[in-house]
Amino acid sequence: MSLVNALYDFFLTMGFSAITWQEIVMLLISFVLIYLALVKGFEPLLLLPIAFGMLLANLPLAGLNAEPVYEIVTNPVTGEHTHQMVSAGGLLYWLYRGVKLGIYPPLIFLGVGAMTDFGPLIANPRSILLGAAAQFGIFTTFLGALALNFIPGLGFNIPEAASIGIIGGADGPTAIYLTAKLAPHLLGPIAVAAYSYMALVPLIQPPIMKALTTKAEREIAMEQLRPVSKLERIVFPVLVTVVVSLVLPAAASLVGMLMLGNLLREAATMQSTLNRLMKTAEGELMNIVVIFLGTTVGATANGELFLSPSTLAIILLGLAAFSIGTATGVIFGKIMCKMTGGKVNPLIGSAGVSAVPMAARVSQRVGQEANPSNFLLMHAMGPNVAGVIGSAVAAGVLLSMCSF
Amino acid sequence: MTSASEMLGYGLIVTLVGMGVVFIVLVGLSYMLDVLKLLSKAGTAEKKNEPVKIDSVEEPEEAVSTSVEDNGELIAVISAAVAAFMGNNRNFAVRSINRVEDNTPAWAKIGRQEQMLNIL
Repeated sequence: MSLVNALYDFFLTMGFSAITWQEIVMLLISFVLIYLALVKGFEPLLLLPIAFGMLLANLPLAGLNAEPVYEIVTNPVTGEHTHQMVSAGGLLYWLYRGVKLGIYPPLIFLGVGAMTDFGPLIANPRSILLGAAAQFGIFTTFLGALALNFIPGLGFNIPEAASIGIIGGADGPTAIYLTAKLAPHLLGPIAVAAYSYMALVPLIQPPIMKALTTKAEREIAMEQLRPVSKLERIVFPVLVTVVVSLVLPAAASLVGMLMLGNLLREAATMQSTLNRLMKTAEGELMNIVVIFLGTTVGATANGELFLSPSTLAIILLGLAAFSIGTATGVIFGKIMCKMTGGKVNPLIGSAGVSAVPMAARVSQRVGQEANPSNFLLMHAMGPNVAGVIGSAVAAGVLLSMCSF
Repeated sequence: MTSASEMLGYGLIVTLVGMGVVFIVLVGLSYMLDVLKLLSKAGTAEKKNEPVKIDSVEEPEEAVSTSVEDNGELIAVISAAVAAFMGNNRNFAVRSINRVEDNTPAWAKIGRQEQMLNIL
């Protein structure tokens, strides 16, 4: 074998020889996402692992996503058939099992629950309604995605449309949970759309909020929230778990873990040993899962699937989902404002689209713009955390009605 | 279920059921929270009266009058804050306002301020 031949053979084992144009484009997209995460601060905690996962998955010949290969071997003596592993499969393939089997998103919810204070919601139970109203965005987008079937060449089946709609829930783990079960091939674009729009909430929401409210409504100052008793704080997570799981068993794993985390948080003040569990749930465990989840979700963004018109449609529909959710939340806020005789500032309605706590901060900021002495943050946290429960319930409905 | 209109029809059903369930569950929860509030109030009703009385007594105790300037605006603001904090119980009188000595190091103050700015 001559030197030239040897060099040529070696070249064939290099990634350069096998790279396709789609992979090159995907690598460029991952660079842009890394830039957005690092320089622009777009949800860096998740977008960075997602972008890097995308990069890893589009390196040719690396085989990080490779499935394990088994061979059927027949025992010559007994005639028994057994499976023998020929290749163990790639790293990301195995880490992705946690997404595929629906394990990571509930674990993230455990941490979210341990970090969330449901006090504002317990203090003002009616604000839960705003968290429900904002879920209209999910279902309107679901219908919008189905309506696209009337355009030839573009179309989503029902599970796909449901996964696109859930972007409007503005809740990353819920969106990933549902999509991994209903339409795993769309996981890449949906996760990227969901997390990008969550980062863009401060840009998307204010124009809609201002367009739908008058200045006088934005200026409304709300009464101080009542203090919440220990008993209420402890009973709340148990109550929510039982009620939601009985009505909607499909949402039990998400809501159950969310509330377990919250119970750990509230109970840690009674039994200080529980502090350790709470710290782990909201700290290291969550960080570990975020790394696994982000990287593997990014790694599903395969060039051939990602670079298609449907991705563009998903991005546009996701924007619509966010906008409609914001709008219906604010409209419900207006209705509540009228019904309570002007005690509720409609701006807190937009916080119903989860995206905790970004959406609540947006309510606070827009409210303070209109009336500098206005503090809506805690009032907006009520609908905000109710939105998390609301989108988990909506995901449960979609999961039980749209999986064929 | 292959034609576009059939799928849209099923989508409408899912939407109705979905929003229905979301509202029923969350409205149900909101009323259950009302019940919970009543229950927890019933449990702590006896205790609740005590702190109210103490509050109105504590106010003058805490504050030893050393205020030099006659600052009407400041008094109004502080009274309003106390009133908002006490909620419905307006049974108190501000006798004097006194600055509590602050032992917080400057670094801690800056840190606190930074955290608050980060949140808002």
